[in-house]
Amino acid sequence: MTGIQEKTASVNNLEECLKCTVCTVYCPVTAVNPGYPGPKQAGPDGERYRLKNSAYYDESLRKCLNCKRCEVACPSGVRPADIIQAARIRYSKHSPSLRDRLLASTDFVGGIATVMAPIVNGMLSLRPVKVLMDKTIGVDAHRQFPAYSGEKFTTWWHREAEKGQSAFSKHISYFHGCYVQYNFPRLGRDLVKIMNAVGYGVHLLSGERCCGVAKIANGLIGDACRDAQRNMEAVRRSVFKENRTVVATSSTCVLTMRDEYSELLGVDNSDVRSNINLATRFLHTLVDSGEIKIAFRKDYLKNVAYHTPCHMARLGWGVHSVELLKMIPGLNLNVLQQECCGMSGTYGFKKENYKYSQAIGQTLFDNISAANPDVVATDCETCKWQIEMSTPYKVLNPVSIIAEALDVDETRKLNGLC
Amino acid sequence: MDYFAEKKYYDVIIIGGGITGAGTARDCAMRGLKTLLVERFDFTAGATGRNHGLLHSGARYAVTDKESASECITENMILRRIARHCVEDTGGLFVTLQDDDLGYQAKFVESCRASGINAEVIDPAEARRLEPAVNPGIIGAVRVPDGAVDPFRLTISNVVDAVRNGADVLTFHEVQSLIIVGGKVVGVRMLDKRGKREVEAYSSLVINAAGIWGYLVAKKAGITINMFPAKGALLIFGHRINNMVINRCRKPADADILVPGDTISLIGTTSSRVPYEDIDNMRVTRDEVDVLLREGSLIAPVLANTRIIRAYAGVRPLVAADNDPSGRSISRGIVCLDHASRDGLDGFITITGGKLMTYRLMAEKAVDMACAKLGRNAVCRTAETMLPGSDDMPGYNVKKDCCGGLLPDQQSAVRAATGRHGSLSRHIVCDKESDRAVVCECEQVSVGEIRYAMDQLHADRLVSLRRRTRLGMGTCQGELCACRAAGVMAALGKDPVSTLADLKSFIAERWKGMEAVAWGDTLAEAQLMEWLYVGMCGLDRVPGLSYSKKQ
Amino acid sequence: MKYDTIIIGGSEAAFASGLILADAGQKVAVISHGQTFLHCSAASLGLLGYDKDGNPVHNPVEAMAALPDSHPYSKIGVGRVCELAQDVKDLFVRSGIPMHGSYERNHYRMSPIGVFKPAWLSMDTSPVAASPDDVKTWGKVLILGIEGFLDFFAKFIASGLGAIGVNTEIRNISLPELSALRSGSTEKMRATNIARVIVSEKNIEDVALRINIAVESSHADTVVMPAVFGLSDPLFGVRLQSKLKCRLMFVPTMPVSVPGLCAKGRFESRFRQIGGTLFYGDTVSGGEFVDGSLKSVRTLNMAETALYADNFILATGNFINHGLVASPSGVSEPLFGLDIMPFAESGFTGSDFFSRQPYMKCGVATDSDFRVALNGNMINNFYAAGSILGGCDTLKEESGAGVEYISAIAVAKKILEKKGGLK
Repeated sequence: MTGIQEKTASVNNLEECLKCTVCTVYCPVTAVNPGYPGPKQAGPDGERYRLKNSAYYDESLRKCLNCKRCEVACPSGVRPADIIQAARIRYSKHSPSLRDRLLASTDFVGGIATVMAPIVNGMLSLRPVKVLMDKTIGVDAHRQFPAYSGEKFTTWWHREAEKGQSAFSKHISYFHGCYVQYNFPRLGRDLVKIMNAVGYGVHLLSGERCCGVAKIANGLIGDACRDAQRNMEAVRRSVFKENRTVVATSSTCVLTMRDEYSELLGVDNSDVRSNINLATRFLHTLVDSGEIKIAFRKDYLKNVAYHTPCHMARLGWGVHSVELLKMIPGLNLNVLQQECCGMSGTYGFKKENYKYSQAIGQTLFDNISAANPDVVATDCETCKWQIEMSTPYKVLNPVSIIAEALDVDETRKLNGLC
Repeated sequence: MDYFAEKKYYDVIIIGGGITGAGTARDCAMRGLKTLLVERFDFTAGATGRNHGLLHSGARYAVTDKESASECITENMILRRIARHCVEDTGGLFVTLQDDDLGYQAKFVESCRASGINAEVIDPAEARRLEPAVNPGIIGAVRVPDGAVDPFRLTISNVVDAVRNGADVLTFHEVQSLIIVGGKVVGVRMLDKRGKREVEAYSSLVINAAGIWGYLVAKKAGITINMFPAKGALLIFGHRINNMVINRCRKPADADILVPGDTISLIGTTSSRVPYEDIDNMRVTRDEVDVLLREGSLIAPVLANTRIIRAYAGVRPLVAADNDPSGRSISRGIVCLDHASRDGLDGFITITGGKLMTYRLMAEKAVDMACAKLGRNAVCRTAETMLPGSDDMPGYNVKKDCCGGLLPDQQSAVRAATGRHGSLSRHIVCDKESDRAVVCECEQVSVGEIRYAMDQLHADRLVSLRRRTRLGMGTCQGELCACRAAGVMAALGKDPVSTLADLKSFIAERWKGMEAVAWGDTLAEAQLMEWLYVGMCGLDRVPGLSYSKKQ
Repeated sequence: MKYDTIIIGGSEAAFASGLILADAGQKVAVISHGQTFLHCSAASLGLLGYDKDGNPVHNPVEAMAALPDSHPYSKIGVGRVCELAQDVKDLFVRSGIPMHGSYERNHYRMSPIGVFKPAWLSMDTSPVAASPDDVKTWGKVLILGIEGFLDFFAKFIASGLGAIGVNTEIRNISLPELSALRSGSTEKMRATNIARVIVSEKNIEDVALRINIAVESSHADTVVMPAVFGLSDPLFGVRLQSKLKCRLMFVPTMPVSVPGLCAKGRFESRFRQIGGTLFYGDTVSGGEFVDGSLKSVRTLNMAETALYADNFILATGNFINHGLVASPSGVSEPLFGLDIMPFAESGFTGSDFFSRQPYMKCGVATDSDFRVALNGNMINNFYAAGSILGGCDTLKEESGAGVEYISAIAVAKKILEKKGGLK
């Protein structure tokens, strides 16, 4: 009987479920949406029935946010969210609507919107346009759209940063993602500022595509696979040809590329997975091992509340952002209890989800109000939109806060750059 | 009202609430005989509830036993018609492994065809595509019309139809003795296990359909039937590994059939002689588990690391020919004995041997004999008449709606119930929110379904609820739902003290099947079960059942 | 990354030792592969409830003298156990959860099926009495269920109380706030889901009103309800009680238990407040052992980043929590492959579920300080705490919580007593 039954962990990943139901306690959707069966039922329990007959697939699984809090909570190693997403991919007959396609195509839509940013931003905030979008394609009228920047991040990089980067002795490729590219190039600039100060050149990841998280969520699996394959080719070029590890500033992009590509899309990333990193983790690991040093301004005084995005919790890397922020001497850090903001990418944009999205986020909004910080720090752009829309507080990525607080000259000195 | 307040007379009393007894009762009742079916515990408590649930095509017997093979394929086609809601047309494969003799395949196919079984040799690559769980190293594959049949559903559907046709049924009544007057059996004396009293019923004829226990029934009349209890052990895996039946194409041996049954898969069986003293308390040994896993993972390698939720064993009623008391030439065929001609005892028939697949034919033979003895001239209609649950109803097409759950607006519990009960599920009342509350989450059993089983399917214990609804048959083996179900039963009016005792015996019975495979997640689940029921609840401190099997 | 002590596991023992160490100024990290789901489920803790013959224990301290040497209590020493028992009570109080009871005299708690079991410490509004006979002081008991909630066994409780001679009445109340839960499918009407809905002051008023109406017409002295309120507020019961005209008791439900989760949440937030770091949803993938010490561990999420500490505590629990894993070839400790305690029992399982199960005694091999061993060599900075210690059948003894908390605090204090441990 050598090897037989020594370990029972099937590919289905539902064997390990002991039916303790603790996942349900941490599911943000279960609490507010009675039509959602909950992670245990939709995940391992339902999968047994779907394995029997695919007709047991239930479109209510589309109510899952894929926040993965159930996976963090499970004490037995089950990944209910993965089971649910995989079932959606395999069985859902729902075809993405025009709205879903638009929301999912963050890169395509972003590309057009950037060119026309002043017009688009103005239009998206107009009440009649919002009502029209609400009525025609089902984007909730209450939802505030993130503003599109007039200049893409890559345009800025080519103009302002590119020629200085090769002067550094160490290098990274930056996966900026759609958000930095089209909506908030400042975050990318902040990363360049920090990395340059600690002695790293920052390069674009040539051939970068959208990570595909929105396409996966909206059922555009073929498109997502194509993006994933292109991205992995890009990462391989960077890692193996250019000897540069890849760093991103969005926790969701990182989770998607590290875990969802292989788990959900079947795109193999095992050879480069460890080279897809989040900026705060990359920095903190270097600081922790003494390879780099960071100096902060003494006059940077702020009360900051840190919100751990759900996907950051799933990555398990909240500690890196927190430890980096703690290094800023004038920063008073309040680490909030991990709660879901309710946005989950494109989920909260949809008319049918809006009220659940806001109900889910309420605990977090209340906790932020109670903390009353100068700024909220979080690693995810959609958490930022949700919090900024639902509370009066400004939200920044920890990278931007570090960049603000950074003493560039002193840091360069500490890292032997002048 | 006391059922036995007045003397009860029947044309036929049938002993045994397995599939044979239930099928015989249905046949008798449909032919207009006044019928009583008696079972000492619950329906399907014996070998009926402890087999593969394989809808044999007959291919397994084609080489060694042509008669059985022909019977199987005939009954297979009948059951696909009359018991649609109990049958799943999975199709089956007979695969040849690398170390097996491919030469056997030709002989096998030829024998199948001779028995009228459609056996089609297919490319091993095609077999791997059809059934990805199969060992990728197979060198030969034959496709046959095997399927899966749920013996619990099949039995209860026969019981329901028997009752609809006027039969009476009694569970938890154990026949203590046959009432014999002047060389003729005229009735039975029974122990009402719950009322704890003796009762009697009278009849022109008694049919012994008690499977292996039929040996003991016959003995009460001083008659010896040469039966050999043959234990067969099986393992249940936590979910469906395969969607087609996989058989090994060789002379029938241990652990060479893997059957998908409802939400799980089953590997079996072993075969070993056991003494009569043990037939009420079958426990699977570690050696049997080893054989099943070692051989089973040759058919489907994934068995080596799939969670086993349970091990169980049934006892086949093998009968030796009367002229062969040593039992060397044991038949698996149907044996119908008229004890008047065989032993000089009138009014007594034994129907035994056979198998789940041929229960209807067994019933037909026994009732033909009964009718002849009673001078009745009624023909058997069981092969043409739909079983309850398999008949269509307005807005419900069994083939489309059953097992497939084409009711997208319904919650999963309703869909699961429809899959289980077919068109009978229209009797499940789920009008109120509280009826729709789910008791067993693994198998999606609602309060409404429990009430239906209690009211209409003769279920008044947890173990019976399990057999009727799959409650507690899922991954957690009742850890989460047993207590809930007991609470529901008590709330519906069952006495709380005996319901707690029932809960205790139910949990003990679940453990019985987990103990032989107590490792990995199944041990973790068992410890959680102990944590809940012993640690938290203190169920070990309440009295147990006074009439449980193990005394 | 470097910590003073790293605790592996998310059990009660993990948090108990983590709180003691962090309170003493240590930099502590807890690595847990998920949420614990059995935490304080009964809203009562047991220290030692039954002797080896299954008879109820009245004075746990006296009964401990008869325990075998392999028992964690014997390894700690009875006197020390009593000292630490007081620390456990303090630990709860400091986390905002009042506990009642004494290690010198057990009281009795009512189980979800109406059985009375010995208990050491119980939360406010627990269904407890000094003795089973004392339950009569509850007067007439109204057993109040919630419409659609199946994890409350009113008939069994009535039967249990009736057997003692207590007069009971069963009723249900329907809370309109829960209608959305009731109309939903499957997992909705669970204790924790109800608790997530009933939170506001207005909800409390509404629940109180409905209870008072039921109490008034039934003339009850005590109302017994399922423990489905107060997920993040340990004083919910006290607040509700203040609005009621009779005594209120919450009967624990099947896991996940609301009072348990509430207590765990309190421990967790206090742990964070005093500077503790939590790695949730992460699994240790290996350790670096140098010269008889554990230098660092690696985890799946932290990947290349090793986590260093001066001392380590293994509090990963028993089979339920996957702290131990059984396979056909035997029992192992899955994270490090630590030595397992020699198994003295004749079989691994017992055929009668309700008799003693030998596997309950499985645990890792430890010395008298609860230090673990690898390939026969004691690891001098690596300790085990909680149910992974084995050596006793905590379920049959009703000693699970006692062993869990007391061994954890014993280990934490041992680490602090070490040279340089106390900062």
